[in-house]
Amino acid sequence: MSDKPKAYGADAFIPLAALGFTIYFLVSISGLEWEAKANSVFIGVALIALIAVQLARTVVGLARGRGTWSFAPLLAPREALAKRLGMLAITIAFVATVPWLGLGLGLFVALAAALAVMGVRGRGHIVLVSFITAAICTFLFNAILDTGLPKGPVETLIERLVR
Amino acid sequence: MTWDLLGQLFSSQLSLWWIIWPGILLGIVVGFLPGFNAENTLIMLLPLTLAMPVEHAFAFMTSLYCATHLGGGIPAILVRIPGTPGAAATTLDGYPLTQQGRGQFALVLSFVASVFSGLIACIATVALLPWLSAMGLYLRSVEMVIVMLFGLTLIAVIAAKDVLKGLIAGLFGLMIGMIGTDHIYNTPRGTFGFLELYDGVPLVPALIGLFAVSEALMMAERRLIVGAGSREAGARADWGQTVEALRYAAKRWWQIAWTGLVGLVIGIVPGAGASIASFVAYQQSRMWSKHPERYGSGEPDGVIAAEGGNNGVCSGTLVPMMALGVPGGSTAAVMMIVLQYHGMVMGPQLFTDNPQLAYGVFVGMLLSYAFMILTIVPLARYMSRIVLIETTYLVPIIIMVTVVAAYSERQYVFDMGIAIVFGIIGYIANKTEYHVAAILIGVILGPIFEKYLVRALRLSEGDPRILFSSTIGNVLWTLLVLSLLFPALRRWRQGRKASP
Repeated sequence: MSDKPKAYGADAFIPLAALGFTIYFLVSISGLEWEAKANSVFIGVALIALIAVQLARTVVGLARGRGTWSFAPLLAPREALAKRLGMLAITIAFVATVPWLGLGLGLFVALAAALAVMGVRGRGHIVLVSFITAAICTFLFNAILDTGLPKGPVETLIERLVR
Repeated sequence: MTWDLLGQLFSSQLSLWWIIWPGILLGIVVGFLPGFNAENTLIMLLPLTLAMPVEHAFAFMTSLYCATHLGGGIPAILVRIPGTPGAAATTLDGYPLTQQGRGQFALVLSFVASVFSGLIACIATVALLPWLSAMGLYLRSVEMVIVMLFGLTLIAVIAAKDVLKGLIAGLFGLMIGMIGTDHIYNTPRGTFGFLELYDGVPLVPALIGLFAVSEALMMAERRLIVGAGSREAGARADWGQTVEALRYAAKRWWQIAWTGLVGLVIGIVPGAGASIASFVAYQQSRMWSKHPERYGSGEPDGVIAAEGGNNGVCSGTLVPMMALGVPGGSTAAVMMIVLQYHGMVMGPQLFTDNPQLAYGVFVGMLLSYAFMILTIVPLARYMSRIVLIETTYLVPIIIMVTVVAAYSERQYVFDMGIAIVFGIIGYIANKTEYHVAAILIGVILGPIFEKYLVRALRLSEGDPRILFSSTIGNVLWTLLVLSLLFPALRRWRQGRKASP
């Protein structure tokens, strides 16, 4: 068994998120017929009971000095934190702009930015990898699987050329 | 079925190799890609299959369906991203094997387990079809509620490092799975005001977020998926690991057989499916293993069990459709549409009126499996090299491509956002040892569990004692309690033996 002190703050993240969501869910169904809320009450009450036990374990652990109210494991290792946050920010920006940029251009720009954030050096390398991946995805998802992904300037241009 | 008929069926199905092979190749690709499965691919290909003669259409559909189950295990082993929900259990031991530089071994093992468990389940189906088809009739809403709870209990046992955390993750997943309108009055619940959540939480973005996005964020910490020593071993990889896996699989034939049969039985239960079957097989394998402590850290038997259960389901889901006219799952429902379009009447008379087709389906499956193993095993050596690519390239490609795939199920950009949210939840869960597989199984079971529970409670006018009113149900309750107690009891006994 490890002697490393426990990070109870990080450990409590999922139970607290689950507790918040369960309370929101139970409040949102309070006025409904019993059939619409029987299952949620059944599961929700059991979940709250288990969370209570877990939080009690946390309080006991803190009181006995087995760990601290720390969130460090979620951020560790610090060297990778910027990469992770950068990847999340680029992905969110990609999802927000894909309806206008379309799959081809949106994916190319997002991938190029993501590769740079991850530490790939050499512009030629970044452009080549992004271009090939975006081209394969556009061909696979739009041309073969016809998933109806948003079309942007690249797809419109290709359609005009093909016609 | 006579031997003459069997011989005829083999020769007629063998002549369809030209349609079985493309089905297999497409199925493997579809299974590999998160966001695609046999059901949505068969729907997209309906214009093609409806235009084919019924025997050709069925050979194509069944080979594609079986191959997706096999293909889903490939990314689960190599990058811890299950291609299909049924491959989630494969990540538990498959990915640790890859991290140890034994990706090729794990892949071949999963292919052999998939194919032979599928074969065994198929043979058992042909032999026992009349009895198996009756099985689904005994499971009503009460029994189904307990089957679902049984699945959830396994989550706690699988997350054996901390059962409490496993249960919290599973129930949290169940709560998330309840988002959406209720089954009776269609009133929205827990949707945060988003119309896109009225139909519930879409499974594909949840799967992509919990496994692909979260794992990619974890990968960002390392330069390679494998350690330096394992990288050298991987770069030198020859046919040795393939041969080793084939030998290992041959020694563990019994493990492959019984996990395939577990998959078959669970596949017959409407609504249960591969995700439950693989976890049940995995948990049972661990429970009866001489080395349960090795599970979760690269135990080859864990890969066999998960893939055995996952692929045994294929024959099982076809049983209620063929024998009773009730599709056992959504893919079977699509197949049934094609059969009905061609004027086939499902049910017991199918076996007397059209035995060529009824039994031909299963013979076609047998041949598909034979073709599948010949196609895929030689490729394992090359597939396993993906782990040699640096994470600086892998992480952006995995995150971006899988987030794009999240769009494919319902064609909402909103679903790409859901994948990101689940990615963050999955990342925190991974870092704090709340099993992501437990959350996913909860999300999958949530709507099904509610449907059966409400149905049972309506029958009893709200009296929960109905859950303890049937003999089969009470047997299942007992098994459920034993599944929880058995590992704890074994740990206690081992502790007593270890202490002087």
